[in-house]
Amino acid sequence: MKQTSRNLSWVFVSVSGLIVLLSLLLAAVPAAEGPKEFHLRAFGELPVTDHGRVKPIDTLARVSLLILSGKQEYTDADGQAQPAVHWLLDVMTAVVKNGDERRRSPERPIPGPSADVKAYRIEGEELKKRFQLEGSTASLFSFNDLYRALGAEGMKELAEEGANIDPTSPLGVLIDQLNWHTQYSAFETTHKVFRIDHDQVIALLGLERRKGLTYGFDELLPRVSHLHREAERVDKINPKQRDPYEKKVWDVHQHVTLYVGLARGNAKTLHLIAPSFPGDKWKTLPEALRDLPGRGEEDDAAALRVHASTLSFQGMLVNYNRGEREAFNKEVADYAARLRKEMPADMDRAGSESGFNDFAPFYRCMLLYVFVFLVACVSWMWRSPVITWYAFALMALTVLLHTWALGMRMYIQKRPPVTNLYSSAVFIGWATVLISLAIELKYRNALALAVASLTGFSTLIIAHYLSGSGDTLEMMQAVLDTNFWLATHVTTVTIGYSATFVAGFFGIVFLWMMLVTHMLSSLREGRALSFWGWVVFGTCAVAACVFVILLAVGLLNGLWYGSGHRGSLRMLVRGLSGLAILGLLFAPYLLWHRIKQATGSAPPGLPPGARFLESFALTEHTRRVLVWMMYGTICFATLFSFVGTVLGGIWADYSWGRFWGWDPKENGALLIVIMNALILHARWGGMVRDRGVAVLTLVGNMVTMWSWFGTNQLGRGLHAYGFNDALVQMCRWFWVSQLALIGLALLPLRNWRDYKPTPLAEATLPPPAPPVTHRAKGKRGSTRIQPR
Amino acid sequence: MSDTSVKAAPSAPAPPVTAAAPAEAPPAAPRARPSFAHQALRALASLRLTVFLFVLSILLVFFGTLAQIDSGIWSTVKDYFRSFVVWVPFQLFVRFGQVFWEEAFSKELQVGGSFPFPAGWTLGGLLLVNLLAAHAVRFKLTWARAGVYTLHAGLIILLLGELITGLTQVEASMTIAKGETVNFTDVRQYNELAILTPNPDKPGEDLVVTVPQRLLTRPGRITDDQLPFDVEVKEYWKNSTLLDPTPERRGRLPNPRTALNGADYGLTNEREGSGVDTEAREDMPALKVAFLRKGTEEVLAEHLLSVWYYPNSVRRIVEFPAQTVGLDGKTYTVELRPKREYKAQSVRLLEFNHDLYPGTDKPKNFSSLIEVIDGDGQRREVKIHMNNPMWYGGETYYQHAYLDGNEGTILQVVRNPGWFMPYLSCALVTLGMLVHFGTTLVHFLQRRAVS
Repeated sequence: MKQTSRNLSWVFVSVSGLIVLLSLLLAAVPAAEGPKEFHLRAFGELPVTDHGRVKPIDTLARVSLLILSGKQEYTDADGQAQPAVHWLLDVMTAVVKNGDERRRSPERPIPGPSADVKAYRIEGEELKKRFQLEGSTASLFSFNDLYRALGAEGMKELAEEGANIDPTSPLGVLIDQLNWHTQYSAFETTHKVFRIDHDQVIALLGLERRKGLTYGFDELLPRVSHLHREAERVDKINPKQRDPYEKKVWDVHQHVTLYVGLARGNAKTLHLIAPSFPGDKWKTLPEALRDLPGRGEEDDAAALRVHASTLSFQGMLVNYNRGEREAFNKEVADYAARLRKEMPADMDRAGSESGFNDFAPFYRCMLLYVFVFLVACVSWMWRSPVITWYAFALMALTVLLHTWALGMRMYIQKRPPVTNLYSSAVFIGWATVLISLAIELKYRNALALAVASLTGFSTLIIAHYLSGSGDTLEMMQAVLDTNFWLATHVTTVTIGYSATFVAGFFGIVFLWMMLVTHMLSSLREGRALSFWGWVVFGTCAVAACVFVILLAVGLLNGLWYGSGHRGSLRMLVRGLSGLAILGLLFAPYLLWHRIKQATGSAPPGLPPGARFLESFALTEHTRRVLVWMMYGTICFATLFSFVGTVLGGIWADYSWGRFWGWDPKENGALLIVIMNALILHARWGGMVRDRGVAVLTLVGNMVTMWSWFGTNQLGRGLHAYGFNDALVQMCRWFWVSQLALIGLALLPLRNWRDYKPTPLAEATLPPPAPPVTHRAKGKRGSTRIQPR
Repeated sequence: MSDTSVKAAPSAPAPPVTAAAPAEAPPAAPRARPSFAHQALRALASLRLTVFLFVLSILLVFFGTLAQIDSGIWSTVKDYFRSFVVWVPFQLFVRFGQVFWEEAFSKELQVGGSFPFPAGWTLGGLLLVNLLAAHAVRFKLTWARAGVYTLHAGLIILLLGELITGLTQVEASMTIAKGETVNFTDVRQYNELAILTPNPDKPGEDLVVTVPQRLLTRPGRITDDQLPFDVEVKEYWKNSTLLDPTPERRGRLPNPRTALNGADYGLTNEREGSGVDTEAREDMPALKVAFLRKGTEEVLAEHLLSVWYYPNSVRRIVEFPAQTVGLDGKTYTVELRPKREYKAQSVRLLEFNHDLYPGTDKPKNFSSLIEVIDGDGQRREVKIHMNNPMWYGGETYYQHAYLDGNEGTILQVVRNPGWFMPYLSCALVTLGMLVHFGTTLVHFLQRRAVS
């Protein structure tokens, strides 16, 4: 039996390990791009300058698409997922493509499908007369309807008339609508990438709510003037006082501006064209095209050299538009080869960044963390040292990947790891995992691994959320432009945050295990219960189950969210979440068994199917281990949060002459220091014991969340970056959850003892002697967990 | 050592790592009858008091953070951290709810009332007493406790440093337009009413009489021999806003004044801003004041003065004509301005640079190239930029802000005699913690190895 179990665990380890390694390898080695297709990846590696930073086109495309749609890829008309670069190329060539179309069929001044959308509301005889639509009974018309009625000349006259009439009159509004439509029709594409999730905004644009909530530019186009008018109004309102509708209008307006900027090649701060010769500058596409020599001078070799980049880029766009794959690929390769000679460092960085984007290491880490968590759970139930060892090895692999990813970011950005809220989340996750791994090295019981995988996973989810607002490798504000202080203060203080969180997560595990312990002890004894005894038992059973289910549902939905809400996974996630919720039935089952025991129809002991719970009970050993883990981590946290906070003060003193300004963020860091000191002193003074420490670490969690995200939401102080409605929600529910756990932990605990997972018959043997310590004198015999 | 901790510690199932901690040290030899003074000292030294004070400190810092939503950083620091008792308004909790639970707390909700709470001086002082008493009671020179002593010494220095800073630090600013030479700083925390007349003996210099801020914040009449006339304060606004003459506001500007450029600007009373606001703006106080002939009720002039009108203001947008009071053929210029301190040296701004990241409007660096002219005429050029201040004559000059249109620079000038204490403290505490936690860890690992 034992041999079978060991064999089985080896099979499990080798099969799942092979799958993990293979999938990582496959992702790391991208498929080669054949000669018959566009070399989109090679194009994506080309450098551009945006927001003052040299980055690959791939990043530009992904970040732009992320801002517009919330995803880094898009679904084409056939339902196929396509890379962001593909979309960006379609947008950048829209002007050429639409221009060609217009030349081919001049009777359609707007070649795209938007010309046939019935978006123009014309009511009343007088208005209809102006548009020569007297006979029509309809009130909604498309651009083509109007064009057919008025003709090219009529349209021109109308536009001229528009300059002299009141823009708020019905006719003025219509002319405005026509103008915007015509003007923006050059940028028309049909990719559904604009995510609009506010019904009022959807109605403003005359759209219908649909699944996925994504719309194409062609759909927004006919009524884009309405959006502009609303945005003009909203612009005058203080951003903090806008209601949700106004915020959304502003967002969509910004998205349209970004899109049009990309289509024109001159989005704010975007410089597409690399320097052509040493001493040349980065240029926007329109600038570069304007500088091109006129016809006849093109053969001039000197002119060719001076405008090499512009000509190459133009060549790529033109060939892409014509579908000339080989010519496109050759232009890309030539451009890259020339730049590699001129700016090798930037090319290296851009190439690495594009590869980094492709590999998506943080997403892979997220998956691996969940897998490690599952393996850790399996290791407790299976009680196989092989699997515990395997979980450790997997975690080590994940940490390596996480470390590599952090290192790559540092290399690309030329900065220490933490530069903004996003990177703080990634770094805090990394540090929590590393701290836990060090603890695991000592105890090898997969407890620290479980905690590490949870903290690693949840911080990466937070990071994923924070990345939605744009480039996460943005340039630093002037005052932060110092690698020395970023490396010392910021890194130290975030390690302090991480350690406090690790201690707090151990606290959560400890408290949950106490609930399980109480339940199991009660079942083992099987004695009659008082009214309050029943209440406590029931609460423990329900709370322990709900906790596990929330965890499972949270992990599943987090994974789904982290994968970019992939539609194909939705059903799976829902199904598995539903299954997890079925686990809630376990609580009534235990309660029912307990009632049977109390009425004498069942013997004392665990009901069938509940034995696995014993792995999660607090024995004297696990209790001591967990408490030491909390204690040691808090010591570590105290050191780092104190040093980090004081270093921050010294930085402030050094750069603007005020050591301590009582700024909200500074106060937050100070709170963490005091909180950790409080836990240590309360323990040294004997005011709290195991459970007390666990409860206090949860308060530490709350304080850290306040310091990390909460203080930013007050809108005050030097560190007031990252206002965010979702962060407000997250803070709130995190605090509520911690308070709920603290409430559970403070239940009356008269019966809570260390669990002895031995059969009842053997329990009469004398308990094993407590481990002898060479320093502590006196007997520490009591295994009762004292409520303090 | 406190009695309570002696009793509690051995029975606590504490991990043995705490063996090195104060509470686990063997109890002091029993004494026949501890004196009252000794008992009092023991009570002061108790760890329970420490933890209690920590709880209060956490609450105080939390309240002091929330208070910044509504009031300025300076008044918060003064009320919560640099005083003995603070009255915490219940409205703070409502504000917290409004930020984090919008659905449950309407924006208009107002709650009256407040409760007293020990403020910074009290808690800091008690923590200091508690710490000193603890060491007095439990002092024992052993290597095992060297770390604890070092780190607590560091903490004492930190607390004292904050005390010294609170009492003695002066933050001022020096506003210099391009090409200007300036030999004074503006202490922005305090304002003064300055009354200037040209010095008949030295052309180009003024005779100045100033009235300090504490006399200006309450309405009332100020009489003094040095003042050429009596000053009657009508209203003091902690902060004000200068309104541009936009078309919609034409004809409806409150308290209009015509600037030197011919346009009318208005002035309104404004909520106090926080000193380190997101927009990093300074408070711009204003003062409604009447000037009366000494001892009579004859009004010589009545003015609404404001720091906005002060020609050297850090936020000057346009220049205004001087506000004057005429008395017996003499003309006095009156202005409300930050408290002014004259320096031995003067500073000339040669160049101000505001670098942007290429193609963006995101600042990369601000720098001021200045020339410092010593009292004895020595000149030298210095470049001050972000994270690179200048130390001069016990003061530090930092790049702080700039005038609109990059027309000049604003330097922050700080004098803080206790500046080195945080540095010392940080070093000591770090060392102490490393030693203390390090020995704890080593003992723990040894114990594991033995067992």
